Amino acid sequence: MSSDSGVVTVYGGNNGGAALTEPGVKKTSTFSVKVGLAQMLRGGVIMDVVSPDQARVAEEAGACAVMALERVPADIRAGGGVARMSDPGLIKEIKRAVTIPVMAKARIGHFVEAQILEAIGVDYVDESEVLTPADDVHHINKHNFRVPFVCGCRDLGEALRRIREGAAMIRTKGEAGTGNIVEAVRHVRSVMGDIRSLRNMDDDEVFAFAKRIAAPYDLVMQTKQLGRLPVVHFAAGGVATPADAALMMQLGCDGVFVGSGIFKSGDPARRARAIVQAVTHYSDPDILAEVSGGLGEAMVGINLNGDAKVERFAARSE
Amino acid sequence: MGKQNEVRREKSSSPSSSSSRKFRQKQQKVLPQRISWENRMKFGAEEAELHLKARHRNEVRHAQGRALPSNLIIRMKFGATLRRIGVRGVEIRKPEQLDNVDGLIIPGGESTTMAKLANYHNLFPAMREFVSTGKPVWGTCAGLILLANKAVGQKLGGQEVIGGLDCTVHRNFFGSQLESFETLLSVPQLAEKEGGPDSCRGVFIRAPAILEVGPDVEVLADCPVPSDNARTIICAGEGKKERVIVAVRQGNLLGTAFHPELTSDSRWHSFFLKMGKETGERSLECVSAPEGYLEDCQGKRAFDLPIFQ
Repeated sequence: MSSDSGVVTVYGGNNGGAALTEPGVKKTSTFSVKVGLAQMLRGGVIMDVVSPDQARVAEEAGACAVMALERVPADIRAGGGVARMSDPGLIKEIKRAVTIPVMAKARIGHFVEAQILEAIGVDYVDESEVLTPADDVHHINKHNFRVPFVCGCRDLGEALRRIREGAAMIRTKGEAGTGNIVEAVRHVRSVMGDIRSLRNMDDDEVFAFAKRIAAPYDLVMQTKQLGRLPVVHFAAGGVATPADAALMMQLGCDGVFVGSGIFKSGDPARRARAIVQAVTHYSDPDILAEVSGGLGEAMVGINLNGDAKVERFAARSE
Repeated sequence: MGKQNEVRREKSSSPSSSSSRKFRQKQQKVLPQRISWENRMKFGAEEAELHLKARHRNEVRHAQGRALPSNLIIRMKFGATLRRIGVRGVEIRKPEQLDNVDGLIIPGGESTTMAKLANYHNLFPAMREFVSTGKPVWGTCAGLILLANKAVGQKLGGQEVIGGLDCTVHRNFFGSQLESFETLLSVPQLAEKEGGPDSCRGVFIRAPAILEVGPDVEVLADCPVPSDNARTIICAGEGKKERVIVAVRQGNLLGTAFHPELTSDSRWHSFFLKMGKETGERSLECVSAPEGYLEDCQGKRAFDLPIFQ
């Protein structure tokens, strides 16, 4: 249970003040600090950007953070080939352009990419299935890093496995770069549904449940007690309109990632602002109606029904 | 218009979790010896339930402090702690809502984003007026930046602030997320008023710091500048500074650069509620003794993960 073992106890541990550091002394990033930033992002929108100019548009629109990329997921999907971490030079430029937190993606299991991202000082690393996985079995051991991580999930078990690996924030995967919200809804409903049934469960049944969803028992129990995921939970993958974003919020997410939906649309600045407003006032249909109008063309999108040719990014990791 | 707001407020503040509240009461009777633990877990559950029904933007929320049947909002993070000390909060998203609250808490978040959204909804004039009425206002982290008269280190083109607190704040003073940290702060004034140990746990997340304060501002806490951080020392201007100020009070304005809402120590919250009382404003009542710090003293940090408390 001690922090020396490399296992960070998500409960905060019984290590008392050991986690407290004097600034000036060597700083370790406690789990509280990692989760804290995610907490500050709650109720916000995180936007994918590929240039400093786009980052400024996102900041002006009210994004609470930006994700620095070389290609948005729709282009990754269209372009094919192997998708890798973005050029650190580009990420640094974007970091200089804005004051809001900057996130960047690393391939699943590629801990060296994560080390590089940590070295250039990004605020959050996304271990993302949108990039081609580097390890088809293992994820990055995120406890080894001072930078916090966000990871994707499709169901409760996957979310809790990622949290045990050290993820300080979870996003449901959806299907990135499609502009189709159906997978995101499926994943959010799966997580929320599992949590609801977990809450109604007898304590004695939690052991078998934990085994069934292949998640660590202590985290399952903590989720049961909290009635929600023990870290901040965003939605991602397929959000293209303000209504999509508000739908994710009403389903119970803490915030929304918007990838291709903004900069693949007709009027990015307006759409970005509309989505931010929609997330703020997600339960007020009058405001949603007002902001949804006159946004120009939405991204085209891909129909996922029965089309086996569309590659499922979400299925790239478990 | 007034009527409409009234309705909206009722809606948003109706206890969405009455069933879980009942459940909690029942549980407390059954398990008196475990109250603090149970409470914590249940605050968590209740919070989560509320959270499913109502979520918000990092905007502006407040605390109003009449004892119970009151209608106020605060941001969720403050919600549970304020409830624990007997005050209820409401979220403020629209300027009209400010007329009905006794105090305002501007929480942490991205100050750039918060200023943007407050601008869209025309909250700045209303908040300035609120500050000028002398009602208690508390800003943490981004909220502190918004309250300060002068902020440096902002985005291209600057950002609007509410002002009122006579100090200069450096946005993102400690650096990016990698430089975020936790530390023990020495807070003698707080301990004197609220009891408990004379230090408190401060969680600094991409935090600002106060570089200068005016003559009327009382300094409540400071913190050493990380010596390895040359960048910040340069930014601080007038040569090398060894400590920066991280908590201040000026009349009814309270500013903290760290996040008391992320820890279980509720002394800052009750300190804030008592501020109104001292200066002869309508009293903000604190109905129960803060218990947060006691648990900390007893080493029960087991559930101190600052999530949705």
